Amino acid sequence: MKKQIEQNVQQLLTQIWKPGDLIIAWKNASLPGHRTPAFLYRKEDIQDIVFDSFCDISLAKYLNERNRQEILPPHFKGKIHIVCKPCDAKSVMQTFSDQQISETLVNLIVVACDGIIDRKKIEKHCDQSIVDMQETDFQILCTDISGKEYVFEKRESWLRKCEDARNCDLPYYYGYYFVGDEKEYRTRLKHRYQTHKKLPQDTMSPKELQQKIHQELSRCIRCNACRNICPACFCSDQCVFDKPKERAKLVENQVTTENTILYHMIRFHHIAPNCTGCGECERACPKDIPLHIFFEYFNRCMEEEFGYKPGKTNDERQKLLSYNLGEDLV
Amino acid sequence: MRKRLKINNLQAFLQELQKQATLIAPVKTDAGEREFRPVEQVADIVLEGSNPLRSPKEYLFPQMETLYTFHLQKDGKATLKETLHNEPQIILGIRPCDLHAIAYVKEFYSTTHQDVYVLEKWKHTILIGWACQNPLNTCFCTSVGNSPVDSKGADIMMAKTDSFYLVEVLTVKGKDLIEKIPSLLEDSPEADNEVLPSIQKQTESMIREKVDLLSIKGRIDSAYSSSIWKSYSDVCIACGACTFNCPTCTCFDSADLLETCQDGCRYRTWDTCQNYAFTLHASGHNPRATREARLRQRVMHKYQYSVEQLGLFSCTGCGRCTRSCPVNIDMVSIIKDIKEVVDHGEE
Repeated sequence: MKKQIEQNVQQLLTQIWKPGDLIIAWKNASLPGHRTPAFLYRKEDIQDIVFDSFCDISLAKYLNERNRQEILPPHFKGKIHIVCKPCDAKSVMQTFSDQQISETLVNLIVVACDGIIDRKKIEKHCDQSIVDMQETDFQILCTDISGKEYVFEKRESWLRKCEDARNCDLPYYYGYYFVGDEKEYRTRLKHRYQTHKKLPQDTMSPKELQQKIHQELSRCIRCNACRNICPACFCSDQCVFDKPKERAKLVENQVTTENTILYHMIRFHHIAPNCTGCGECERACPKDIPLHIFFEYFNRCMEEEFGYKPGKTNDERQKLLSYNLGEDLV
Repeated sequence: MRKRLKINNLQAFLQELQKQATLIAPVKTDAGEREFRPVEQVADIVLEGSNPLRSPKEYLFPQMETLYTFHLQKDGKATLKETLHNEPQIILGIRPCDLHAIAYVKEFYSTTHQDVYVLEKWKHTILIGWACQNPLNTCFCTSVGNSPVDSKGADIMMAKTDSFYLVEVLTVKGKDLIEKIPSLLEDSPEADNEVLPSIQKQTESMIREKVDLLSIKGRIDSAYSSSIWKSYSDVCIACGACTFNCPTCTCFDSADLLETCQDGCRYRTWDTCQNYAFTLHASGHNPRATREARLRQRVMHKYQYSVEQLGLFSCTGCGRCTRSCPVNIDMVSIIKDIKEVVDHGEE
């Protein structure tokens, strides 16, 4: 099934690719279970593209203006073909509505996905040098250096965002190619769709919550991986946490828990109207801090207070930045 | 001096160490990962398993450190007070890669300039190494000329065998410590000479790949204008996860913090060369404005510039950069490409 999809993606790309175009997709990295973004300019490279349950990196980030400046060759005139999971497609939608890139420059290829594996969870469980990681329809098979084999049920090793289908809906946008059976995909979604996941905010008292946040964020090393991988963060070198020219510095460099909390709070409030809940920050965190405490909560607030899910379409106006005459004030 | 420690006596041995000074060792935290932490209970220490993601460097060169405090007196004069932390500490369970890293940090901070903050801490620290038997698939210490049992930089080296722990005392500091500890240790027979080499052989066979960088040591700058950097910097998102987890990264930024109008402190925090603002000049010019230049700087510093300065690779092959990279950039494939370019030129 998976191999078939990979072939379909390659086939589609071979058809729509024109000389001078760029393809952003995944390819194998050197370690087992690692996939890394691939930037392909040649037709013969299309066969390197992979798509499977290990393609956890969201490629939407590479579309924003700053990243394009770094990646694209000078005088690039072609189109960008980007391969996306449905959840990343929402981030791409958000990139469109934030006017980071024009729709006319992008060919969006959405691939039917049935859950991405949390590789870190598996690696942590094995705690050994892994030499091989393969997937079957329902299982992940792992072999470590001593030859010991591990079997993980896919169902139990998904990334948090894949546990229910809240992030898997397709955007309202008619310009994308869908690889896979769209009808089957939509029915599958309907079956898996669940209400909001439980968050510590639901069960804890404010005091306990404060303690929990304190405890989790005290491990933060302020490496900025969560900010830099976030598809909604596009201020690049003008970010308030760096040293922007002629602007006040909001958070001291000093790495204390208070400053760290301030950093995350400012960041998550700032991206609340853009955050599609792709969970990249949590995945990128080298310290495995459960950042879903914040972004899932903000997502939920956006939905409940404003009836708004970021990334649904390509031209939605940001709810926190726009106002219609006669609209109720919150 | 070489000794043996019975498996059953390990707990007692650790307790004795704890009595001598603050004991820092890999401990299982609440979040379920191992980290070098000051030990509260000896039973928490987990010496086996993979190397913790955070290196013990932070006990010599912490991520954030107050350098001095200042106070403005009523008569208008200011007083400065240096804050030197020099309580004795013992760091236990350091893998050879991290031992090398600590040796490098110490060397770096005593050659170009004398950094009293690091050196004072180093003087009061006893480093106990641990022969590595659990390399991960990200490890590549043999590529940079280290070995999984190399005891360079350690005061005491320990290794685990099936029936006992080998304790090798290497420096005067280590000897002083061992002499304070009553007779838990036994003499070790001649045959123990073979323990470390056999561990080395076994662990090296588990390491994924060996890229012989020693053969091109000092010539790596010929890859400076190669196109390999672009292929990795396209993927790189320029966060600082690799540098903040690296055991040999030594860059820092300092700033003043005013607590009241009279009192304040100057502190330093780690800084990362991957950040755009790292080399941003006041004029607005940035000599390393692209990610390509920044990624090249990081790699070149590890394998070339530190060789020019100190004669050492400042990469010890611990693989933490690969482990922590959110976009799966693999250091081994970078050095493989470098070697290819240096040896055979660009295709």
